[in-house]
Amino acid sequence: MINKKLEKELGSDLFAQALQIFLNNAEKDFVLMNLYIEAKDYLNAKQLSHKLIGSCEAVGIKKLPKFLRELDANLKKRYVKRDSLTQINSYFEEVKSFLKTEYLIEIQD
Amino acid sequence: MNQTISCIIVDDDETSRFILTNLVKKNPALKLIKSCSNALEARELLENRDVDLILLDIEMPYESGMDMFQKLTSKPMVIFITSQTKHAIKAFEIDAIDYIVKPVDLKRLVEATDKVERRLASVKGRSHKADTVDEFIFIKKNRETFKLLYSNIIFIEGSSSYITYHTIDGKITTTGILKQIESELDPEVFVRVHRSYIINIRKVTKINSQELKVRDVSVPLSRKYKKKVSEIFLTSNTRID
Repeated sequence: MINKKLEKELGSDLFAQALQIFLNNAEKDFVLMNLYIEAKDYLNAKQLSHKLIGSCEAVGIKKLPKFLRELDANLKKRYVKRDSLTQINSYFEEVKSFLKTEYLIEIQD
Repeated sequence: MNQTISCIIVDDDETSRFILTNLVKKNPALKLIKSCSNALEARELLENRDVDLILLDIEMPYESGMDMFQKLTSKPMVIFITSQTKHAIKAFEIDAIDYIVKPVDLKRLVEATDKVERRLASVKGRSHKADTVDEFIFIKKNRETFKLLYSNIIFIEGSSSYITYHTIDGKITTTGILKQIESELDPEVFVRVHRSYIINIRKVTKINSQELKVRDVSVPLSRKYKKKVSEIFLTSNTRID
């Protein structure tokens, strides 16, 4: 689910802080991206998919960047596969659940 | 390690900024000046202070990192840090020191920093040399001695026992022989290109197999000096005044 290399380099505390920032921002970005896709605002949706790729990769989340890249490429063509979007959203839920179990990190208001 | 490299981070993603900030703090070669969330903020900072290095994301809203960097009038060194490989060629075309694909790790950052240190050392070496060489000569004419800055000399012409200094303020003719003057000049700035001519390589604007354009003046390039001159121009990073 997550690459441990960064955790070793940053140390547990800083890594936990990074994950907290990631989770709070990613939650907002996922909601917003889905809304933009619903509204067929592909340009703004693509900006968010790109941003999410960067932040997932920055903390070392596995798989999700690959799914997001596919979505990003489709958004460029103003097209979204519903199944893929569902899969991405579902995988993000798994990431959240993993972060809560493994690192005791939950979304903060 | 020679000295601390001052740097800024520019990335629209807060998570990436946080991680990179902390990796930079773990690298003693780097000193973080500021972490910026967009190109505008970075540009404002760079207008007011010098930094050695930008750690720059590429795809950002409103203005990309590439666009921002290309618009800077005074360019620090740059390492692009991005989630895509597709901009790598362009990055190196605009003289990026390195191109790191996320996730960034400490080892990769240190490798990139080493490249920055090598570039800085090379630049400092050149400027130190320029500072330590006397960038002027004294010439005697009649009973007066003139101080002539290298930057004012375009080329020097010799004929029998006279030497004419072609400067940006006009000509000065004195007695003397070109060979003697040649030995007194800095060979990294002045180069013999013909039996009768020494040119300031910083003033050269064009070169072909038979002549050089020094400012607006054509100076012949003789066969004897052609090879040496070509090597100088091929291997130097000569600045043109």
